[in-house]
Amino acid sequence: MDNHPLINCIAVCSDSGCLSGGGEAVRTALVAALERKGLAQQVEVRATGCFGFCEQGPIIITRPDQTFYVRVKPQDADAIVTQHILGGKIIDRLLYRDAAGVKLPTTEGMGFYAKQRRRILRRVGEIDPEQIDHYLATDGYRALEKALKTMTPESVADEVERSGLRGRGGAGFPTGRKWRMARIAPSNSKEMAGRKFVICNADEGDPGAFMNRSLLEGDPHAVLEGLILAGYAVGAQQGYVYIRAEYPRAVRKIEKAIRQAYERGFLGKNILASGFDFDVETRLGAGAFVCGEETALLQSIEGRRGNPTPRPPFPAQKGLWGCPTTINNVETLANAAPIVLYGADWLNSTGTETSKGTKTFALAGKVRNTGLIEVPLGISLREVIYEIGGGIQNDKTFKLVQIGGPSGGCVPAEHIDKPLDYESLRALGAMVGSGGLVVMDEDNCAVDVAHYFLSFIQAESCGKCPPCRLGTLQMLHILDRIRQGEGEAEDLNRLLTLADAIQKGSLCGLGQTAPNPVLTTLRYFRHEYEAHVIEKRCPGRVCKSLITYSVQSDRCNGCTLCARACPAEAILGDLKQPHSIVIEKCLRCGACLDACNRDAILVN
Amino acid sequence: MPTITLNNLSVPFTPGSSVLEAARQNGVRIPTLCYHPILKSVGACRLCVVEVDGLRGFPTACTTPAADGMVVRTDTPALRSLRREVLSLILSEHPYTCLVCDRHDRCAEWQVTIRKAAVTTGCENCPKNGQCELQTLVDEVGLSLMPYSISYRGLPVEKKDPFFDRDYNLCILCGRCVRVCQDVRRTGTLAFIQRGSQTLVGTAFDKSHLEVDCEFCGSCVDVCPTGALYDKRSKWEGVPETTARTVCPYCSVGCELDLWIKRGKVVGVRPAGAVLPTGGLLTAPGGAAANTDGAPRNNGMACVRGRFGLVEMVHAPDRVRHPMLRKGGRLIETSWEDALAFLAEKLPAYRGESFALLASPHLTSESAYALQKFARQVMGSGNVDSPTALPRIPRIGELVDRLRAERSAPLRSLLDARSIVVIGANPRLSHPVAAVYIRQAQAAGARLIVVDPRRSELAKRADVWLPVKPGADAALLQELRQALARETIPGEPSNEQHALPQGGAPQGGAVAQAAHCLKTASPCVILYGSGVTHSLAAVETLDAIHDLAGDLQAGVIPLFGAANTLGVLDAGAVAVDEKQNYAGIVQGIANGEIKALYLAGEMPALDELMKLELLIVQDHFLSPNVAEYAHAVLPAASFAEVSGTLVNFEGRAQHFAPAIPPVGDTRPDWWIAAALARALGADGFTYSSAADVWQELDEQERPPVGQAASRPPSALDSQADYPFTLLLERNAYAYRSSALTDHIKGMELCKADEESLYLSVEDARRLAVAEGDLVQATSPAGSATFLAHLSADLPATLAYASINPAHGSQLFVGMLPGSKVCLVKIDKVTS
Repeated sequence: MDNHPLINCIAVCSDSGCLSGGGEAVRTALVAALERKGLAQQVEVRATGCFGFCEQGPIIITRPDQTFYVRVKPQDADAIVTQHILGGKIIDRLLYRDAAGVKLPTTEGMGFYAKQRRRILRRVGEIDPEQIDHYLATDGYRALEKALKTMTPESVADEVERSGLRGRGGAGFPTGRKWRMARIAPSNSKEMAGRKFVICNADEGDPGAFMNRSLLEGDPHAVLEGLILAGYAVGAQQGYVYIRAEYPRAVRKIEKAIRQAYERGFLGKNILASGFDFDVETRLGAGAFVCGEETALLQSIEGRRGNPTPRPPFPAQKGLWGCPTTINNVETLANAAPIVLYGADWLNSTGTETSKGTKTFALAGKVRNTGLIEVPLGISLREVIYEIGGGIQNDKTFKLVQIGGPSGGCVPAEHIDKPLDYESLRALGAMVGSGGLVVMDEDNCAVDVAHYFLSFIQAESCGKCPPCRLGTLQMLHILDRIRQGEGEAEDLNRLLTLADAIQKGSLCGLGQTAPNPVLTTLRYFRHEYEAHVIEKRCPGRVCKSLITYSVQSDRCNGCTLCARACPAEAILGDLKQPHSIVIEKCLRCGACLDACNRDAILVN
Repeated sequence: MPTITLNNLSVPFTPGSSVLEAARQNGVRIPTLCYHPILKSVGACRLCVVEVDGLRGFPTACTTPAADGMVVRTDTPALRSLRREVLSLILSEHPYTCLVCDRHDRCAEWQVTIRKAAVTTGCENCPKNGQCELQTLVDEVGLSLMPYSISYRGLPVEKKDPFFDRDYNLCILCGRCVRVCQDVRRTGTLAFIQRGSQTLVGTAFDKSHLEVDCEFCGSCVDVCPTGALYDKRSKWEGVPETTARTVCPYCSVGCELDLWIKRGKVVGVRPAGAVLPTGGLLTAPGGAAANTDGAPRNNGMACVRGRFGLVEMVHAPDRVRHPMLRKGGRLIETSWEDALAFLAEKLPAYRGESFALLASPHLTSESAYALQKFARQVMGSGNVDSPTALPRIPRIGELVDRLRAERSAPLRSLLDARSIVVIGANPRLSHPVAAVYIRQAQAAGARLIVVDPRRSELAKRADVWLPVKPGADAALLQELRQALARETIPGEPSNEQHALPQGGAPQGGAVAQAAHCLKTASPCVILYGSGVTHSLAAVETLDAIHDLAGDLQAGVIPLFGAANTLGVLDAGAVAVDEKQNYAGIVQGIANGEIKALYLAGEMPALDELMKLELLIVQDHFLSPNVAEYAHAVLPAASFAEVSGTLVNFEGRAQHFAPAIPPVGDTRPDWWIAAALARALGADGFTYSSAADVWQELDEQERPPVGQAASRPPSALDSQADYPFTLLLERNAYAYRSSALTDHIKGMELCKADEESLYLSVEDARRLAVAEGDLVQATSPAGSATFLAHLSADLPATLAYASINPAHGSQLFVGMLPGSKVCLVKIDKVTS
């Protein structure tokens, strides 16, 4: 067991998140420290995928004892080697402290992990994603072997259908049924009769979402195996991984995985002597959000501008180069291998009646614990926000959570006990989407939030159809007016009329869902809109035109910090005398608010 | 026939139709904007939304296939409101004030403002006013209130490129121009750029159209529903009073065009079928109906010459408008009476073989017939030729026989072809619409094989390029036939290896590859051009082409350069006797045997012209070369002013009627020949119309051909004194005796290559010639100076130049028997 990949190593998170926090320097420092002690051969420093708790990065885990060190710096390397590895003593100061101040040596008992079910992410953070042997040692490619040797393509699709797996990219279409549709569709295009394609959609573009990237960086073979299984089930000869170029590390890892799979005979001609031929290539997106939309993605792979095309025909009938094509999200595909290997119940046993299995989310915003999480579908928002997320920062009041990316919607505090699943979220006006969760508190303004997401959609509209290209622009103009205190009562009806026309008139899903951020905020926070329009007041104290800053003289001790921070020289006052703000000069930048350490700045 | 329920009415529709087409077939109007019948529907504008039972939401009629039993509603309150919303969004980016103004009908009479510094703020100062699809749409959709303020893009109007201006402030992004450029013309000049509300139409890297190799076919302008794209020439002409369908006179494709007429002048040109009827305008061809045999073969397309080169040709200020006679050394304008009287007095002295006629293959059949009849019957001379129609080769008679017997495949058969062979042709320049069909066929998967001595633009786009030594086409084609015979049955793997030809690979490989292509991809269409018809070995090559076509059961399309080559052949205006052909005539002038020459749209540009006692020039323009020597100048009416017939390369006789009255004192060519004949007292020239001439021509026995003795062609081996073989491309911008590039604004940009000579890098190094140096090419007959360009697409000792006969390059090729290829020596010009 000594050479089992899961023991005897220092696992260093090398996901893009921890790397940006200095993870790579920590890793090299650990390698150097081990070398200095002559331990380079005995202890492996392993660059793994994401542990999830990005808030606390860079994180390392020593194995086999599973000690969980957070916010590690390169200068900690020597201590880790001498004290922990050689001395067997846990380094107290590098341990995670929970909200109550208790130090926890492992993930055991951590609120962040307690309610999670890391099933899709089970290898992420454990194995070295660049070593196919690690993948193979953890049941890797056994599903493929089982499928090719003992199952027909139909039974693979059946098993997936029975598992209840639904698309993890947004719409939640049953995956098994999708495969079957492409399987039975005739391939009779003039040039490529008989050809079918499967595509892994890794064009993750929602602001703040990084689940697919982490999965591809942490366990690329799991996605690849799912793609090969999809190819087998559909009857395709070729697969593509369509991945955004802004994910260079994920691109490198999936491309390396593809090369390794060819070397070991999991790709290419006559895979595992089954007679099944299958090839996979990557295609890089050029930075357009809309290319995550299936038909736009197909246009992009064909070398054209990524503009969506009308359906019918559906990709399952006429997709890539006119051939039946199945497009699955990264996470959907990662579910395929365990379903095939362990049976439909592997997925079935978790989740709700209609939403089976687990789902990864990128938890962000004003919660204490942010990061990559995986939870069973059906978990309540309260559990996610207050248990996994550890509650709202600074004990502020929870206001809303934005779910499902820019096309998703905002769920208010009153629905915090609703389950996280496809149907409930849709009923609330939001959607599971690809899995972004942005938590906001009392200091956020609903109008501002709607404006942020809508401006993203507007900038990323392909421009083809007027409702999306111009309708969202007009909505944005109205939101701008409202934020500037120039809104009129009629504007709210105008927003609803426009939203209706955009939903009904847009060509693709991106356009049809574009008004969601506005519609859900209008639905749950109409009073905030009205406050802006009628009272000319921003309850979240965010919209600059509607707020003023002032100094509470009873709190101000005249330290001059705020005056020095002010870029507009709008703060007057002598040393040790209460200061005051000249409203006409104030830019509402909030620099004074950040600078003051006596809470003396008041926002009205 | 399947039926569809439209608004509670069950109606039949043609299978394969979209819901929109099914509705139109039954007279049900659904508003559209991005839809255009010659383009693939993309459902972008969202105006044709409908409700379909069983389909979610509001699908677009243009992209939804109609199905038997489908229940569709096209006009419900929900749809009307959605359309109004969408149209008002579209208009939010377009100056809409006039569009939604309830008094716009009465505006013109009160309108006082002029255009405001290139900013179009309303319909009254838009070039498209009265023809704009938005104007009809606003009424149709019923929009009278706009909830949005106008967001004017504030972009500068792009005027730098020739022929048309682009005002993207008026663009509503329907994408028709992009689709016609990418999917129909397959030139890919235009694309959408940017995204979101910044989306625009543009070129790669925002370069000018000239820089990105735009062909200026004008298709984008034709399909534009707004005033965003508009011809410079007719920008402010407004709505035409009438239109007349006619046939383009520039090449042998015979595109059908609609001339826009206003105040008795041609003010614009649109290819038939390209422009959608709007507001009751342009619904039916006015003036003259050309063809009744189905859709126009150009399918809404034209090329830069036909689209932009007609208005200015017809109404050019330097056009010859009155007869002129030389008096006191100068050409003086005069009346027809005086001119005819002068010639009636002079001409009788030159009856017999001292008279010669050179007639252009661009003439109508009627004119060519009347002119040659005048020369033969009235002047009693057999010296009649059409030198640019065919080469002067010994076996010209046989060549004429073969060409007249040619049964061309229809141009549209290219679209069904799975393989295409192009021999000795550069259709992108010479026959652009045919080139479009080739590109479309290629896009649909057809394989392209190009036989050309140099690696031409077309050869670069081909699946197989077969380089051929000039004059050796027949041998190559025979080799191809043998390789075909060795090929196995289609579908079965061949024993031979078909390695892709590397640079300089042995020809056998390419030939085998071509044979494999042809064997596995039928039907096949073979096109040949002037590289075949104007080569010394034309007859042999033609026979080889037909042998190959026989083997492959392929269609054959002859791409004749001039508009009416077949017509002038039939009219008997091409000499088959060596003494009476162009070479004989030139020699006759040189040695004084021929004393009177009648030039009808031809210009030999020979120094010997000064020896003539009588030179009659009949044309649209007077070129300086002949102006110096002409004794009489007779103004010919242009195609727009006459009726007549052009026979296209398919052998289709296309009749057309005059669109406007003759410009100035001009007369049809046939009329002038007949008037001269009558002035000389001849009978049988009492035609009252072109139709009379056509009737006589049609009843005529075809002139005898094939009389000249066969003689093996002289080989074109390099002689020591003339080590280079020069390939000559006849410039596509030559028309009659003039160059369009001289008379049409903007067209000069298309002749960039005219003074250029391309040399292989190897030869250039040997001659110490660098890019841009001046070189002199000298043939046994004369010489000319060119700008040298180095080319990797030519083998050693092969050179290439594009020449325009109107520009005198014939000075040195005129005497040679074949005008596509000549032997030259090349020297660097040292100043």
